[in-house]
Amino acid sequence: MGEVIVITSGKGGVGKTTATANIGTALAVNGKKVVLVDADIGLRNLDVVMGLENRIVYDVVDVVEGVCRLRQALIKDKRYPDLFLLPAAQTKDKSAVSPAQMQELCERLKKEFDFVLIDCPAGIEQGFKNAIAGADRAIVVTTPEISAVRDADRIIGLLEASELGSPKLVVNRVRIDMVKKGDMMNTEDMIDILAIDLLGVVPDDESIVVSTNRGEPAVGDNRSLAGKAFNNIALRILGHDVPFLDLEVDEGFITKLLKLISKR
Amino acid sequence: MEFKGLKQGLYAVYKGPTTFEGFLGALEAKLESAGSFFEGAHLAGVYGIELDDIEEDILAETLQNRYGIKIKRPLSSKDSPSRPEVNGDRVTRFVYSTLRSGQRVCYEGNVVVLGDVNAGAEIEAGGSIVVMGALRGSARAGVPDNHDASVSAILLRPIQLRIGEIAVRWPDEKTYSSEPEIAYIEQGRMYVRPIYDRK
Repeated sequence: MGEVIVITSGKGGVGKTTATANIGTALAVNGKKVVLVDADIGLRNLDVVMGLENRIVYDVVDVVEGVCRLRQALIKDKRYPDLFLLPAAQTKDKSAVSPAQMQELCERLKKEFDFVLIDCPAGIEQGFKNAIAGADRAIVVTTPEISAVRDADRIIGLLEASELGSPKLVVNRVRIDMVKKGDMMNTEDMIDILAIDLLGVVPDDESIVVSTNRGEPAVGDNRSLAGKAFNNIALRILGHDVPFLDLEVDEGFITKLLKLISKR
Repeated sequence: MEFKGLKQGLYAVYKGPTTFEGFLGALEAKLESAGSFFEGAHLAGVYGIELDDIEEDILAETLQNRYGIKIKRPLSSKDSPSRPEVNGDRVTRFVYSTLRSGQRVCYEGNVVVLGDVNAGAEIEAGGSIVVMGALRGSARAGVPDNHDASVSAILLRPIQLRIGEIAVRWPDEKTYSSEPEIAYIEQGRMYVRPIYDRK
């Protein structure tokens, strides 16, 4: 029996979809059978980020309505044979699926997969309720901005109210240079406010933009620091004790050299 | 729709069209927005609408099955609940968890929070408010006009603070104290001092 994990944030644009794609891919790389479910009906993105857009025939609404069998709607990833995607419908909206239907769908997926990752839409309405309905646990993604942390706090409150307690936190798009200057919230401040366990810190990384546009998750790219951070998150989900990345290490030889010179 | 918490249990105070559907709709909307906050509570009375036996049956079933709230029958519905006072002192409600953004506690007596009150959360009390953690949300003590009420917290960093009808915004340039502080009213003005300094 697998586990259903919902990836949520409240605020839009903090990187839920990117996190879902990368954590899911990393879990598959580590030998797990994984399905990614896009719960953002009407605004689907996960298929694009995974580079599987052109293979969609059926979607999650077709499955719950019984138009097709579950198997028919699952799209196998290009690179990893144990990674699948269940895309959202683009021409419907959130009301096309009910929480009870999502719950039933998750139960079915759990039987076949080690991990079911649900990409939650932004907001706290129907789409959010659908996405968390079948989840066993939750990952809350935030960025080091007050507005994102505020929304994360609201979401954690709602998760606790739905008995999805003790969610884990992923802080995305951290710029260590700005944190050092005091221009960006540091992770400790966020943990202090949100009072939940930290699952990972992902640095702001240009390679994510490139990989997202290419439809290839960054975890496949060994040079990507963000990819490495997502891989570590996957390992922590699998129960490994992985130390947090030292985000300063990767500033590159040239930068270091320049810094050294400028100091003198 | 508002809830009043008294010794006997919860009282639903309803202001709206006196139809059962209207009442139930308002009640459900209120409970949905509160999440599981009222789970395990007892509803002792309803004000603003008279319910017959069948309606009480429906109400009892809905509350029990969907929100885990029991009702104490027969529901009292005579007059509005009075302020909870025991020997002249206000009764205190304890909140045993952190209040997160979007959560709200409203009580006629004092409120003590054993946790933080995060930005976006709200507390409203007829008496005083004590937060055994960081107060970063909004707090309103002494509702509606009690100037003897105070607001204290281990870390007092509210977005806005009100005691009675006096509201203050924290000055933008205020350097925060890391000491426990208390806010209170003296001669119509609000003061904030470290708790241990107060005479």
